Amino acid sequence: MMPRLVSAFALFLLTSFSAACAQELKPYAGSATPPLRLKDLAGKVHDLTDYRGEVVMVQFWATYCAPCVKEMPSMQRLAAKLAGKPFRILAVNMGESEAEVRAFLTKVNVDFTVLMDEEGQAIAAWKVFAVPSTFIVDRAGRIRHTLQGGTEWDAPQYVETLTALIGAQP
Amino acid sequence: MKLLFMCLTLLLPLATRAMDVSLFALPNGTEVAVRPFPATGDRLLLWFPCDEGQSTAEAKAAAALLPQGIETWLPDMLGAHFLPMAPSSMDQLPAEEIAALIELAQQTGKRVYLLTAGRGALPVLRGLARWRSTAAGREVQGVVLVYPELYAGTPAPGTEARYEPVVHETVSRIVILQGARSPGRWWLSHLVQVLQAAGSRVKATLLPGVRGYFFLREEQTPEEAAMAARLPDLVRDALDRIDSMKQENQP
Repeated sequence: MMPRLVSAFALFLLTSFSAACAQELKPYAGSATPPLRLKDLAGKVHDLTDYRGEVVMVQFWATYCAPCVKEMPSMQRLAAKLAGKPFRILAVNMGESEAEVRAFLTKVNVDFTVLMDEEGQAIAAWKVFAVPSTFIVDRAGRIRHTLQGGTEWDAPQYVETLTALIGAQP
Repeated sequence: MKLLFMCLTLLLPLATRAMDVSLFALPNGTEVAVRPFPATGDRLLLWFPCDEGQSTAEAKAAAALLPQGIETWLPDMLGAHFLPMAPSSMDQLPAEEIAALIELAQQTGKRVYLLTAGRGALPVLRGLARWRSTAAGREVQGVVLVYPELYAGTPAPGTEARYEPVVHETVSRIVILQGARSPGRWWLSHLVQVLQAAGSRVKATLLPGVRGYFFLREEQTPEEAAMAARLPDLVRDALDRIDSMKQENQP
Protein backbone atom coordinates (compact mmCIF):
# COMPACT_ATOMS: atom_id res chain seq x y z
CA MET A 1 0.00 0.00 0.00
CA MET A 2 2.76 2.42 1.05
CA PRO A 3 4.92 1.95 -2.08
CA ARG A 4 1.81 2.50 -4.20
CA LEU A 5 1.05 5.75 -2.40
CA VAL A 6 4.63 6.89 -2.84
CA SER A 7 4.53 6.01 -6.55
CA ALA A 8 1.23 7.86 -6.99
CA PHE A 9 2.62 10.90 -5.21
CA ALA A 10 5.78 10.79 -7.31
CA LEU A 11 3.68 10.53 -10.49
CA PHE A 12 1.58 13.48 -9.32
CA LEU A 13 4.72 15.54 -8.69
CA LEU A 14 6.17 14.56 -12.06
CA THR A 15 3.06 15.45 -14.05
CA SER A 16 2.59 18.67 -12.10
CA PHE A 17 6.20 19.62 -12.79
CA SER A 18 5.89 18.78 -16.49
CA ALA A 19 2.69 20.77 -16.76
CA ALA A 20 4.30 23.73 -15.00
CA CYS A 21 7.30 23.61 -17.35
CA ALA A 22 5.34 23.22 -20.55
CA GLN A 23 4.21 26.38 -22.27
CA GLU A 24 0.90 26.45 -24.04
CA LEU A 25 0.86 26.33 -27.82
CA LYS A 26 -0.70 29.49 -29.23
CA PRO A 27 -2.99 29.61 -32.25
CA TYR A 28 -1.15 30.95 -35.28
CA ALA A 29 -2.22 34.52 -35.98
CA GLY A 30 -0.23 35.22 -39.15
CA SER A 31 -1.11 35.03 -42.83
CA ALA A 32 -0.76 32.04 -45.18
CA THR A 33 2.18 29.70 -44.63
CA PRO A 34 5.31 31.40 -46.00
CA PRO A 35 7.66 29.50 -48.30
CA LEU A 36 10.42 27.43 -46.71
CA ARG A 37 13.06 26.12 -49.05
CA LEU A 38 16.50 25.67 -47.52
CA LYS A 39 19.52 23.37 -47.66
CA ASP A 40 20.54 20.97 -44.93
CA LEU A 41 24.16 20.46 -43.90
CA ALA A 42 24.63 17.88 -46.65
CA GLY A 43 23.51 20.41 -49.25
CA LYS A 44 20.16 18.72 -49.88
CA VAL A 45 17.32 21.16 -50.50
CA HIS A 46 14.21 20.74 -48.36
CA ASP A 47 10.98 22.38 -49.41
CA LEU A 48 8.13 22.48 -46.93
CA THR A 49 5.68 21.68 -49.72
CA ASP A 50 7.42 18.31 -50.15
CA TYR A 51 6.16 17.35 -46.68
CA ARG A 52 2.50 17.88 -47.47
CA GLY A 53 0.63 15.03 -45.76
CA GLU A 54 2.90 15.17 -42.72
CA VAL A 55 2.70 17.29 -39.59
CA VAL A 56 5.82 19.44 -39.53
CA MET A 57 7.41 21.18 -36.58
CA VAL A 58 9.40 24.11 -37.96
CA GLN A 59 11.69 25.50 -35.36
CA PHE A 60 14.00 28.51 -35.64
CA TRP A 61 17.00 28.11 -33.36
CA ALA A 62 20.61 29.18 -32.80
CA THR A 63 23.63 27.63 -31.11
CA TYR A 64 24.02 30.73 -28.89
CA CYS A 65 20.49 30.38 -27.54
CA ALA A 66 20.52 28.60 -24.18
CA PRO A 67 16.82 27.54 -24.21
CA CYS A 68 17.30 26.08 -27.71
CA VAL A 69 20.20 23.98 -26.54
CA LYS A 70 18.28 22.85 -23.48
CA GLU A 71 15.17 21.77 -25.36
CA MET A 72 16.84 19.93 -28.23
CA PRO A 73 17.05 16.56 -26.45
CA SER A 74 13.31 16.77 -25.76
CA MET A 75 12.71 17.32 -29.49
CA GLN A 76 14.67 14.17 -30.15
CA ARG A 77 12.52 12.30 -27.62
CA LEU A 78 9.39 13.73 -29.23
CA ALA A 79 10.53 12.44 -32.61
CA ALA A 80 11.10 9.02 -31.03
CA LYS A 81 7.61 9.03 -29.47
CA LEU A 82 6.04 9.83 -32.84
CA ALA A 83 8.28 7.49 -34.83
CA GLY A 84 6.48 5.73 -37.66
CA LYS A 85 3.87 8.46 -37.90
CA PRO A 86 3.76 11.23 -40.52
CA PHE A 87 5.68 13.74 -38.42
CA ARG A 88 8.80 15.71 -39.26
CA ILE A 89 11.04 18.20 -37.49
CA LEU A 90 12.76 20.90 -39.55
CA ALA A 91 15.10 22.87 -37.30
CA VAL A 92 16.10 26.09 -39.08
CA ASN A 93 19.34 27.58 -37.85
CA MET A 94 19.22 31.35 -37.63
CA GLY A 95 22.01 32.76 -39.73
CA GLU A 96 25.03 31.01 -38.31
CA SER A 97 27.85 29.46 -40.28
CA GLU A 98 28.02 25.82 -41.27
CA ALA A 99 31.16 25.44 -39.15
CA GLU A 100 29.38 26.75 -36.06
CA VAL A 101 26.41 24.45 -36.54
CA ARG A 102 28.55 21.40 -37.30
CA ALA A 103 30.63 22.00 -34.18
CA PHE A 104 27.47 22.32 -32.12
CA LEU A 105 25.97 19.10 -33.48
CA THR A 106 29.00 17.14 -32.41
CA LYS A 107 28.01 18.01 -28.82
CA VAL A 108 24.23 17.64 -29.10
CA ASN A 109 23.20 14.34 -30.54
CA VAL A 110 20.09 14.78 -32.68
CA ASP A 111 19.09 13.18 -35.95
CA PHE A 112 16.24 15.41 -37.10
CA THR A 113 16.72 17.67 -40.10
CA VAL A 114 18.73 20.85 -39.53
CA LEU A 115 18.38 23.52 -42.21
CA MET A 116 20.65 26.50 -42.82
CA ASP A 117 19.31 30.03 -43.28
CA GLU A 118 22.53 31.99 -43.47
CA GLU A 119 20.96 34.97 -45.24
CA GLY A 120 17.93 35.12 -42.94
CA GLN A 121 15.42 34.76 -45.79
CA ALA A 122 13.16 32.34 -43.91
CA ILE A 123 13.52 34.35 -40.69
CA ALA A 124 12.10 37.38 -42.50
CA ALA A 125 9.38 35.46 -44.34
CA TRP A 126 8.24 33.62 -41.22
CA LYS A 127 8.50 36.77 -39.08
CA VAL A 128 10.68 35.36 -36.34
CA PHE A 129 11.53 37.87 -33.59
CA ALA A 130 12.77 35.65 -30.80
CA VAL A 131 14.79 32.50 -30.53
CA PRO A 132 13.59 29.80 -30.29
CA SER A 133 10.35 30.25 -32.21
CA THR A 134 8.39 27.18 -33.25
CA PHE A 135 5.59 26.70 -35.77
CA ILE A 136 3.41 23.58 -36.04
CA VAL A 137 2.27 22.95 -39.62
CA ASP A 138 -0.64 20.57 -40.25
CA ARG A 139 -0.83 17.90 -42.94
CA ALA A 140 -2.44 20.35 -45.36
CA GLY A 141 0.52 22.72 -45.00
CA ARG A 142 -1.22 25.31 -42.82
CA ILE A 143 0.48 26.71 -39.74
CA ARG A 144 -1.76 25.88 -36.82
CA HIS A 145 0.21 26.71 -33.67
CA THR A 146 3.24 28.68 -32.53
CA LEU A 147 5.37 28.71 -29.44
CA GLN A 148 8.00 31.26 -28.47
CA GLY A 149 10.72 30.27 -26.01
CA GLY A 150 12.03 26.96 -24.82
CA THR A 151 10.02 24.04 -23.50
CA GLU A 152 10.11 20.27 -23.03
CA TRP A 153 8.70 19.07 -26.30
CA ASP A 154 7.97 15.50 -25.21
CA ALA A 155 5.51 16.70 -22.56
CA PRO A 156 2.13 14.89 -22.86
CA GLN A 157 0.21 17.98 -23.94
CA TYR A 158 2.37 18.46 -27.06
CA VAL A 159 2.33 14.78 -27.93
CA GLU A 160 -1.46 14.84 -27.62
CA THR A 161 -1.85 17.94 -29.84
CA LEU A 162 0.53 16.63 -32.47
CA THR A 163 -1.07 13.19 -32.43
CA ALA A 164 -4.48 14.79 -32.98
CA LEU A 165 -3.12 16.79 -35.93
CA ILE A 166 -1.47 13.68 -37.37
CA GLY A 167 -4.77 11.84 -37.09
CA ALA A 168 -6.77 14.62 -38.75
CA GLN A 169 -7.62 14.45 -42.44
CA PRO A 170 -5.41 16.77 -44.52
CA MET B 1 12.51 75.28 -13.53
CA LYS B 2 13.73 77.21 -10.50
CA LEU B 3 14.14 73.95 -8.66
CA LEU B 4 16.02 72.59 -11.60
CA PHE B 5 18.54 75.39 -11.46
CA MET B 6 18.83 74.97 -7.71
CA CYS B 7 19.66 71.32 -8.27
CA LEU B 8 22.19 72.29 -10.89
CA THR B 9 23.84 74.73 -8.54
CA LEU B 10 24.12 71.96 -6.00
CA LEU B 11 25.47 69.61 -8.59
CA LEU B 12 28.26 71.69 -10.06
CA PRO B 13 30.54 71.73 -7.02
CA LEU B 14 30.07 67.99 -6.71
CA ALA B 15 30.78 67.46 -10.36
CA THR B 16 34.26 68.84 -9.98
CA ARG B 17 35.07 66.03 -7.58
CA ALA B 18 36.03 62.73 -9.09
CA MET B 19 33.35 60.08 -9.31
CA ASP B 20 31.24 60.88 -6.25
CA VAL B 21 27.62 59.89 -6.32
CA SER B 22 25.40 62.96 -6.47
CA LEU B 23 21.78 63.03 -5.45
CA PHE B 24 19.56 64.92 -7.90
CA ALA B 25 16.21 66.17 -6.64
CA LEU B 26 14.05 66.24 -9.75
CA PRO B 27 11.13 68.67 -10.10
CA ASN B 28 8.60 65.90 -9.45
CA GLY B 29 10.22 65.12 -6.11
CA THR B 30 12.08 61.99 -7.17
CA GLU B 31 15.65 61.78 -5.97
CA VAL B 32 18.00 60.13 -8.43
CA ALA B 33 21.52 59.08 -7.54
CA VAL B 34 23.85 59.97 -10.38
CA ARG B 35 27.43 58.87 -10.64
CA PRO B 36 29.28 61.57 -12.57
CA PHE B 37 32.62 61.08 -14.28
CA PRO B 38 33.59 64.74 -14.82
CA ALA B 39 35.86 65.60 -17.73
CA THR B 40 37.21 68.80 -19.16
CA GLY B 41 35.95 68.33 -22.72
CA ASP B 42 32.73 69.69 -24.16
CA ARG B 43 30.93 66.36 -24.63
CA LEU B 44 28.63 64.96 -21.96
CA LEU B 45 27.19 61.47 -22.14
CA LEU B 46 24.05 60.65 -20.19
CA TRP B 47 24.20 56.87 -19.94
CA PHE B 48 20.87 55.51 -18.77
CA PRO B 49 20.45 51.99 -17.39
CA CYS B 50 18.79 49.20 -19.34
CA ASP B 51 16.44 46.53 -18.06
CA GLU B 52 19.42 44.67 -16.62
CA GLY B 53 20.40 47.70 -14.58
CA GLN B 54 23.94 49.03 -14.58
CA SER B 55 27.10 47.05 -13.98
CA THR B 56 30.73 47.86 -13.46
CA ALA B 57 31.13 47.77 -17.26
CA GLU B 58 29.49 51.19 -17.65
CA ALA B 59 31.61 52.73 -14.89
CA LYS B 60 34.79 51.27 -16.39
CA ALA B 61 33.86 52.61 -19.81
CA ALA B 62 33.04 56.02 -18.33
CA ALA B 63 36.42 56.14 -16.61
CA ALA B 64 38.14 55.17 -19.85
CA LEU B 65 36.36 57.99 -21.67
CA LEU B 66 37.62 60.63 -19.23
CA PRO B 67 41.05 61.16 -20.83
CA GLN B 68 39.27 61.74 -24.12
CA GLY B 69 37.39 64.65 -22.60
CA ILE B 70 34.05 62.86 -22.57
CA GLU B 71 32.13 63.40 -19.34
CA THR B 72 29.65 60.69 -18.36
CA TRP B 73 26.76 60.66 -15.93
CA LEU B 74 25.29 57.34 -14.81
CA PRO B 75 21.84 57.92 -13.29
CA ASP B 76 20.37 55.11 -11.18
CA MET B 77 16.82 55.30 -12.45
CA LEU B 78 15.79 51.88 -11.15
CA GLY B 79 17.08 52.59 -7.67
CA ALA B 80 15.23 55.90 -7.58
CA HIS B 81 11.96 53.98 -7.84
CA PHE B 82 12.98 50.73 -6.11
CA LEU B 83 12.25 48.92 -9.36
CA PRO B 84 13.63 45.45 -10.17
CA MET B 85 15.86 44.82 -13.15
CA ALA B 86 13.19 43.84 -15.68
CA PRO B 87 11.83 45.09 -19.00
CA SER B 88 8.57 46.02 -17.30
CA SER B 89 10.50 48.40 -15.04
CA MET B 90 11.61 50.36 -18.08
CA ASP B 91 7.97 50.95 -18.99
CA GLN B 92 7.44 52.54 -15.58
CA LEU B 93 10.20 55.13 -15.67
CA PRO B 94 8.58 58.57 -16.01
CA ALA B 95 9.51 60.43 -19.18
CA GLU B 96 9.54 63.68 -17.21
CA GLU B 97 12.44 62.42 -15.10
CA ILE B 98 14.55 61.52 -18.11
CA ALA B 99 13.65 64.92 -19.55
CA ALA B 100 14.70 66.65 -16.33
CA LEU B 101 18.06 64.90 -16.38
CA ILE B 102 18.57 65.89 -20.01
CA GLU B 103 17.81 69.48 -19.05
CA LEU B 104 20.31 69.33 -16.20
CA ALA B 105 22.94 68.01 -18.58
CA GLN B 106 22.10 70.75 -21.07
CA GLN B 107 22.59 73.40 -18.40
CA THR B 108 26.29 72.51 -18.26
CA GLY B 109 26.66 74.02 -21.72
CA LYS B 110 28.25 70.83 -23.01
CA ARG B 111 27.12 68.88 -26.07
CA VAL B 112 24.80 66.20 -24.68
CA TYR B 113 24.48 62.64 -25.95
CA LEU B 114 22.19 59.92 -24.63
CA LEU B 115 23.04 56.24 -24.43
CA THR B 116 21.17 53.18 -23.28
CA ALA B 117 20.68 49.51 -24.14
CA GLY B 118 17.91 46.95 -24.50
CA ARG B 119 14.49 48.02 -23.24
CA GLY B 120 16.12 51.13 -21.77
CA ALA B 121 15.60 52.59 -25.24
CA LEU B 122 11.92 53.07 -24.48
CA PRO B 123 12.11 55.48 -21.51
CA VAL B 124 15.05 57.32 -23.06
CA LEU B 125 13.20 58.01 -26.33
CA ARG B 126 10.09 58.97 -24.35
CA GLY B 127 12.17 61.26 -22.16
CA LEU B 128 13.84 62.82 -25.17
CA ALA B 129 10.44 63.49 -26.74
CA ARG B 130 9.26 65.09 -23.50
CA TRP B 131 12.38 67.26 -23.25
CA ARG B 132 12.15 68.32 -26.91
CA SER B 133 8.58 69.50 -26.37
CA THR B 134 9.95 72.20 -24.06
CA ALA B 135 13.42 72.69 -25.52
CA ALA B 136 12.57 75.67 -27.72
CA GLY B 137 14.90 74.89 -30.58
CA ARG B 138 17.70 73.45 -28.47
CA GLU B 139 18.77 69.90 -29.17
CA VAL B 140 20.76 67.03 -27.82
CA GLN B 141 23.50 65.85 -30.15
CA GLY B 142 22.04 62.40 -30.57
CA VAL B 143 21.27 58.99 -29.11
CA VAL B 144 23.24 55.77 -28.98
CA LEU B 145 21.05 52.67 -28.72
CA VAL B 146 22.76 49.37 -28.01
CA TYR B 147 20.65 46.32 -29.05
CA PRO B 148 17.48 48.40 -28.57
CA GLU B 149 14.22 46.63 -27.71
CA LEU B 150 11.36 48.85 -28.84
CA TYR B 151 8.56 46.46 -29.70
CA ALA B 152 5.09 47.16 -28.39
CA GLY B 153 4.74 43.85 -26.60
CA THR B 154 6.52 40.72 -27.76
CA PRO B 155 5.62 40.11 -31.40
CA ALA B 156 3.90 36.75 -31.86
CA PRO B 157 5.74 34.49 -34.30
CA GLY B 158 4.46 35.02 -37.82
CA THR B 159 2.85 38.39 -37.19
CA GLU B 160 3.98 41.90 -38.02
CA ALA B 161 6.09 43.61 -35.35
CA ARG B 162 4.63 46.76 -33.86
CA TYR B 163 6.86 49.37 -32.29
CA GLU B 164 6.04 51.61 -29.36
CA PRO B 165 4.44 54.87 -30.56
CA VAL B 166 7.47 56.92 -29.54
CA VAL B 167 9.54 55.15 -32.22
CA HIS B 168 7.29 56.72 -34.86
CA GLU B 169 7.70 60.15 -33.27
CA THR B 170 11.44 60.26 -32.60
CA VAL B 171 13.47 62.79 -34.54
CA SER B 172 17.15 62.67 -33.65
CA ARG B 173 20.54 61.49 -34.78
CA ILE B 174 20.74 57.86 -33.75
CA VAL B 175 23.50 55.26 -33.78
CA ILE B 176 22.44 51.66 -33.20
CA LEU B 177 24.91 48.98 -32.11
CA GLN B 178 23.38 45.54 -32.55
CA GLY B 179 24.90 42.19 -31.58
CA ALA B 180 25.10 39.92 -34.62
CA ARG B 181 24.20 36.89 -32.52
CA SER B 182 20.71 37.98 -31.62
CA PRO B 183 17.34 37.79 -33.40
CA GLY B 184 17.25 41.60 -33.43
CA ARG B 185 19.93 41.65 -36.12
CA TRP B 186 17.42 40.32 -38.63
CA TRP B 187 15.06 43.20 -37.91
CA LEU B 188 17.67 45.93 -37.64
CA SER B 189 17.06 47.30 -41.13
CA HIS B 190 13.33 47.34 -40.40
CA LEU B 191 13.85 49.37 -37.23
CA VAL B 192 16.18 51.74 -39.09
CA GLN B 193 13.53 52.27 -41.76
CA VAL B 194 10.85 53.01 -39.17
CA LEU B 195 13.08 55.52 -37.36
CA GLN B 196 14.08 57.15 -40.64
CA ALA B 197 10.46 57.39 -41.70
CA ALA B 198 9.82 59.37 -38.51
CA GLY B 199 12.58 61.82 -39.46
CA SER B 200 15.59 60.49 -37.58
CA ARG B 201 18.99 60.09 -39.15
CA VAL B 202 20.21 56.59 -38.29
CA LYS B 203 23.45 54.70 -38.62
CA ALA B 204 23.55 51.07 -37.55
CA THR B 205 26.41 48.68 -36.95
CA LEU B 206 26.42 44.93 -36.37
CA LEU B 207 28.79 43.85 -33.63
CA PRO B 208 30.16 40.48 -34.76
CA GLY B 209 30.19 37.44 -32.50
CA VAL B 210 28.17 38.88 -29.62
CA ARG B 211 24.69 38.50 -28.20
CA GLY B 212 22.57 41.21 -26.67
CA TYR B 213 23.65 42.40 -23.19
CA PHE B 214 27.19 41.32 -24.11
CA PHE B 215 28.86 43.71 -21.67
CA LEU B 216 26.48 42.85 -18.80
CA ARG B 217 26.49 39.08 -19.05
CA GLU B 218 28.00 37.09 -16.23
CA GLU B 219 28.88 34.23 -18.55
CA GLN B 220 30.46 35.95 -21.50
CA THR B 221 31.91 34.10 -24.44
CA PRO B 222 35.52 35.05 -25.27
CA GLU B 223 34.16 37.14 -28.17
CA GLU B 224 31.76 38.95 -25.81
CA ALA B 225 34.50 39.61 -23.26
CA ALA B 226 36.68 41.04 -26.02
CA MET B 227 33.86 43.24 -27.31
CA ALA B 228 33.03 44.38 -23.77
CA ALA B 229 36.66 45.44 -23.36
CA ARG B 230 36.19 47.60 -26.46
CA LEU B 231 33.12 49.32 -24.99
CA PRO B 232 34.79 52.74 -24.51
CA ASP B 233 35.97 52.71 -28.14
CA LEU B 234 32.52 51.67 -29.34
CA VAL B 235 30.93 54.53 -27.40
CA ARG B 236 33.43 57.14 -28.55
CA ASP B 237 33.07 55.99 -32.17
CA ALA B 238 29.30 56.22 -31.83
CA LEU B 239 29.53 59.80 -30.55
CA ASP B 240 31.88 60.66 -33.42
CA ARG B 241 29.41 59.21 -35.89
CA ILE B 242 26.65 61.31 -34.40
CA ASP B 243 28.85 64.38 -34.82
CA SER B 244 29.57 63.43 -38.41
CA MET B 245 25.83 63.14 -39.07
CA LYS B 246 25.40 66.65 -37.72
CA GLN B 247 28.13 67.95 -39.98
CA GLU B 248 26.48 66.24 -42.97
CA ASN B 249 23.36 68.25 -42.20
CA GLN B 250 25.17 71.55 -42.36
CA PRO B 251 25.44 73.38 -45.71
